[in-house]
Amino acid sequence: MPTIRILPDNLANRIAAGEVVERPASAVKELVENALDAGARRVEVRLREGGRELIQVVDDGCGMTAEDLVLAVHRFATSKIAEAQDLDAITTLGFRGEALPSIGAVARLKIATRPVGQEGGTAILVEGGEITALEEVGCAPGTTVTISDLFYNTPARRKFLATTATERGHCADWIVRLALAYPHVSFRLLHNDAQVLATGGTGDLREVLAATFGSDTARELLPVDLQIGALRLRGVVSSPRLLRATRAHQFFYVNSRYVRSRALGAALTKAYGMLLPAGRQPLCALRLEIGANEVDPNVHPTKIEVRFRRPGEIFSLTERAVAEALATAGYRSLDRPSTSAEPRRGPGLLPAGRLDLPDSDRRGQIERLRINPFFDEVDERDAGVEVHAETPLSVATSPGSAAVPLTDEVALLGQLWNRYLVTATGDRLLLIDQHRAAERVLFEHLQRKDQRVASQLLAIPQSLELSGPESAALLESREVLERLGYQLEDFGGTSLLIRAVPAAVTYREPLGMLRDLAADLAETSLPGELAAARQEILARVACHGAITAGQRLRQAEMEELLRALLATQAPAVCPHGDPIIVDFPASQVDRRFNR
Amino acid sequence: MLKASCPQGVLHEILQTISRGVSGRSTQPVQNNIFLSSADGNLRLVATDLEYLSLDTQVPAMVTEEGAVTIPGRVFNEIVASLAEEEVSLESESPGELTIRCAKSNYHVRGLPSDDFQFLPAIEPEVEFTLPEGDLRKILSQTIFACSQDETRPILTGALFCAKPDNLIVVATDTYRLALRTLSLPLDVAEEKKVIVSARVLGELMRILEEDSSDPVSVRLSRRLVEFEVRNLKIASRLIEGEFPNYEKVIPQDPDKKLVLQIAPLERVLRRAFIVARLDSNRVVLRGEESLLRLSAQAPDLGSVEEEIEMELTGDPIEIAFNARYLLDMLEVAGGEQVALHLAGSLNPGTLRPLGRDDYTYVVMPMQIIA
Repeated sequence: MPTIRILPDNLANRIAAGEVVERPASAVKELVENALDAGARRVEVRLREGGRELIQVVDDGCGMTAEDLVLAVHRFATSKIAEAQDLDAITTLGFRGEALPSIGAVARLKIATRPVGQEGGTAILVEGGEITALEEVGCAPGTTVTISDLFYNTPARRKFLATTATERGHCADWIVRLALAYPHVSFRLLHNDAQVLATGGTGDLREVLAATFGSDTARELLPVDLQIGALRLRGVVSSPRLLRATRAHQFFYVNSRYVRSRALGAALTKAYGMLLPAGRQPLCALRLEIGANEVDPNVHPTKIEVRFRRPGEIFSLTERAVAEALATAGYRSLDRPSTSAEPRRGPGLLPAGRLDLPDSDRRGQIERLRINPFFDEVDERDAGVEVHAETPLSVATSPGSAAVPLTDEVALLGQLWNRYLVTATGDRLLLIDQHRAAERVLFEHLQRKDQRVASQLLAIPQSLELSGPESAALLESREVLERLGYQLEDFGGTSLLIRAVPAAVTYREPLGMLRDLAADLAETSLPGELAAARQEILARVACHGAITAGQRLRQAEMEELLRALLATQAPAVCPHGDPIIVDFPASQVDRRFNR
Repeated sequence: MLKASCPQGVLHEILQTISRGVSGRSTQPVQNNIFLSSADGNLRLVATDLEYLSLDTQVPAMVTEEGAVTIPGRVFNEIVASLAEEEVSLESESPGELTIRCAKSNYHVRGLPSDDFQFLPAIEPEVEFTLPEGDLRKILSQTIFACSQDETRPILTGALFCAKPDNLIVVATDTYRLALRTLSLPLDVAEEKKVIVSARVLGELMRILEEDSSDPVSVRLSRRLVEFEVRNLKIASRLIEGEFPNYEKVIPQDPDKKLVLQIAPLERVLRRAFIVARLDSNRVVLRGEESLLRLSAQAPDLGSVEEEIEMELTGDPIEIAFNARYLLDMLEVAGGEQVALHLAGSLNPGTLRPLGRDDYTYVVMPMQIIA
């Protein structure tokens, strides 16, 4: 059994000091990690009121002796490292020795522990950083840590805690992250005595995912396993049929540690390539097995960020492993293998496979665009401008009617790259971002109808299987969502039952929209004030409901969108403040032609 | 090597149908082609996306030599459509190539060898029955419009076929409304068989079926596949797997109000109200009292409309809001002169049935105003 020692000063100094306990979830994380480091096979977490009143972590790990217990509540006391060189080969989850003392400083902390093979156990009580009781007790082998009244002595911190549902969601998040890393350990999370999450500890990653995200999600997961030299990447990724709006469902692990890594996320995205529509993200739980000295986890006190010694190798391993998993399942991105940089960036490139040339497939053909109001002085009878398109110019227009005068001022010329509407006024060429335009239209539509919204009832209520934080986020925003026309009910576990959807979006996959919104809300919480929250929800509903970039629009759809956009209060900026219209004055165009 | 000929008109007509089965998006180039073979006095043409649609047909032809080839679907269709109305001779002299001759035209088209072309697996039917072509078309036209477009709920993008010993039931729902049609006829099936068929395939089938025909259509069902055979054409698809919602629970049992309305005038007032209603999520409010039904719609920026229509009401006065589109969808295909609308409360589903008939039921969910 590892014993606890005080770290020498020089070593303590090498570890950057930092806040460990920010909210109940951080305490839950630290305690569960300790339990896992103690070799627990069963971890049970009980919360009351989002962890504000009570956090209790019960494990069946190796336990501590009375002496170790006293040391454990001192700052930088840890059983996991002893000397500086140990820092270079960290294999345990916790190592900084900060968790228990930090918690003891801001809450009432009680630890009861009994080492395996010993008769009795010890209990210790810490309040305000001081040991107030130490006694022998009878208890089961393992350790039970009980934290009550978190932040009782730091009222400012306590005040900044979010609602119960949000804090519960953050705690559940961490349990999920750890459960995915330790499929052999059985996890159970109870909130106010109701079970939120339970995994069987069978060692099957899919079983953990099914318990977390619902069985219908788990069915769409593809196995990943690739080893190159000493590096190995294992886990699951979702098929392109199962995508989300955010990266909230991407779980990366280095050995058994949950990490956040832009590099791994980017490699994942690259592997999907064109299989991924704009604004959609795959789900994954991927574990990188790597020598302990190839990473430096000691970057941030919460230990989420990692640095790799050879990031390039890890990027290409990840990309290849995921691409192979997709290919095995019959999904092959058109743009693979790609040798050049990001295929979807850069204005000169069209998305592969979406090349729309009217009448013919031949490349480099001459596209004849009738752009009547392009120049100030034009002969009305024949104002055709020939655009010689070297790179294929995709302008979807119905034959024979290129320019459609919509209002007195704006004429619709067509769609460009399935992303922009090309329009012109008397003295300007306007490019309109179709997604943002649709977002603005929908946003104002929802906003205007805020007082009187129509809700379409469902003949067959639909169940929505979500993760814990997602369902918590939706339930928390329930009042606002109901004012928008959704009717939702807690369906037990983390599922919701949807009984009605906003009538305005019945044709736009309202449940998918709600699912995206849930992921979005679970990741970043809303402003506290209801009015502000409603605005934000409206903006997000509008964003998820609006037509996306990359969608080919029919002539009638483009006209409708343009008309609706011009009728809005602020056609130039989307609800998130990004530009919708970019314009090129005729004078500027003339200058380019040296006129 | 394939060598055969048949009249341009025959080939043209069949290509119009078959070319709709060409996916054009397959990652295997050969699947974007039409498979063409000659044997036993017939030309056989097949197009399939290997997923939801397979079209397989035979036409009588002068077969000189037996063989097969695959040809890009769109080009083949365009060429044949443009030929003179005379005998078209088709000849494949080397694998993956086809020469098309007609009058003085002489096309040489490069396709792909037929060996790589994949077919949907042959169906081994567990259940097989026939029904008249016109009847099947009618049933489909009265149901499949209610299928969902929402790809995130695949089960609802198809219609439920429930074959029983003495009737066939077809059900479609997008959760906003549900259409259920029963056709009473002996099906010669031993026990009930339920499958979900993609609305896309049913849509293609409907295009092919003729309204006034009583030719038999064979329907074959297995665990994974469905095949319809009409005249010389087989249209097959993979079934959508999963459990269709319990539709019986959706149909209201004891609605206490009944409105009897003339279909044609009701359609007219709904269409007029729709001009305004479409700016407000298609919402029309129906107020029924004594012998008058008032319909109204309003749009925030436009204005409002009110219409009146005569009816017979049994039960208390009622006020309820519906999506006008959903009502029109059913009225357009209902048939007959009159329709009965059964209602309970303003938040309970409404049920439409052609008056005096119980083989067509359409349940539509109301809209609620959140103040």
